[in-house]
Amino acid sequence: MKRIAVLFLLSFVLFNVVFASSAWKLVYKGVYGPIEITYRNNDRQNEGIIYGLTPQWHPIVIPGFEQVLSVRSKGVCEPLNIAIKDDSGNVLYGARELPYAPYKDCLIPQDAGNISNFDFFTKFNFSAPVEKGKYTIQITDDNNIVLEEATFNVPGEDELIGYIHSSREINVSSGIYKVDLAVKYPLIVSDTSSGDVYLSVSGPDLGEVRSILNNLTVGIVYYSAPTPLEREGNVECSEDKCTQHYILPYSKTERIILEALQIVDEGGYSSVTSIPVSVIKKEDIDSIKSLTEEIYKSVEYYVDYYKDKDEQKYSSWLRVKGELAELKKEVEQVYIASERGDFKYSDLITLMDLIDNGPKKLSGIKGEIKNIGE
Amino acid sequence: MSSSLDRKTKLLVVALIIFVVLLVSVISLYSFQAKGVDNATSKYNVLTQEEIISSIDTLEDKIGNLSNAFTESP
Repeated sequence: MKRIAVLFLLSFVLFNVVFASSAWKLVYKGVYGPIEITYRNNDRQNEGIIYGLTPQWHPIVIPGFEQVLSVRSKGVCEPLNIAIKDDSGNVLYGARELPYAPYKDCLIPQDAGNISNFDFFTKFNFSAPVEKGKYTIQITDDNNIVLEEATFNVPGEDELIGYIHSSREINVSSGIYKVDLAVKYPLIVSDTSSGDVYLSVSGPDLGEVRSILNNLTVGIVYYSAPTPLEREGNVECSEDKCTQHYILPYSKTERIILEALQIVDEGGYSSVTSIPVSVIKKEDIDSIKSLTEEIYKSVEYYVDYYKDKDEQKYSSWLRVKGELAELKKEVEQVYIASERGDFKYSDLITLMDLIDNGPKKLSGIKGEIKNIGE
Repeated sequence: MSSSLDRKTKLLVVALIIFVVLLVSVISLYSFQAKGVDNATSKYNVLTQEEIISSIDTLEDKIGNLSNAFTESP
């Protein structure tokens, strides 16, 4: 009995050591948008990287939604200016910001040492333009020297979001290969249908592509070690690209981080690229729809009932019906998108409006019903 | 004499019946109007006012929970 207890204790300690060490290998990556540019300006000593649009909630640019642009500059701590221009060169947004890290507002302590290798981060918050089109981001210093120009696209609201990608290039002796993780946004799952995740590798040598893909897996990253997903089917290859389908066995509405992981020694993993996934359980949307309809049907009845009997109650119920009808319309739009499994940008905007304002609207409706009285 | 009494009694009985029928009709009509909403709630699966408020509470929670899909875990 004692032996069993000692063995159990040892295996527990060993498990924790391995678990902890593999967790240490993981470096959480920020969620970066479609722009990732390294710049080196010949006019200046410093160089920097525009990390790209990093929307607060979404890894995509959504018309009219708040975006965060993080700019990394090396060796020089100074204010940066941003201008966002439309196709005709009109400035839609302009701002001047000081770096926020590692020393806020460039208040560098005397004992900081040589800062030539320091990375400084400056953040700009702005709303993405509403109009579909291509926009330019220009970063300048206070002397109006252009440090970098980048472009980004604002999609049309009626466009499908489809799959979002997170990719990274890796250097192997035979050339540069691209690892790409793709998942739908948002990802609709249900008790009967799991989420699809695709991991692909492309590059000059298909043999190498296969070998890299075999050494990769996809995992959900929680607070510690990643949980690998199950592979579905075989690797499928085209000319220069191979793809492995993975299944996300998830049936909860939650935001998770998926990572493409390289399988390394000691059974651990090293992160290659990551992507945030907004998982929405289909049944949650279904029950919101049926509950909204049930409430609406009853409110409709009260409107009809009081029509010729009580003018005041009739008009109060009619007002409630009107407010509920707006909410019902939004719920229906989201429901149709969830049935399709593919959201348009307009569906996502409606969903965000429902989440942001739905509970507030419902509180108002509830107050009105209470005031009507029995 | 007796036949005239019989006639009077008959008339009285008929009048009484009519009165009772009318009284019952008026009471039931009033009762239907008063309880109309309550009857309908069970007959047509209409939620009562209290049930609507409680369903709205549930709906608020359900819609609020959808935000979990877009907010970072702590």
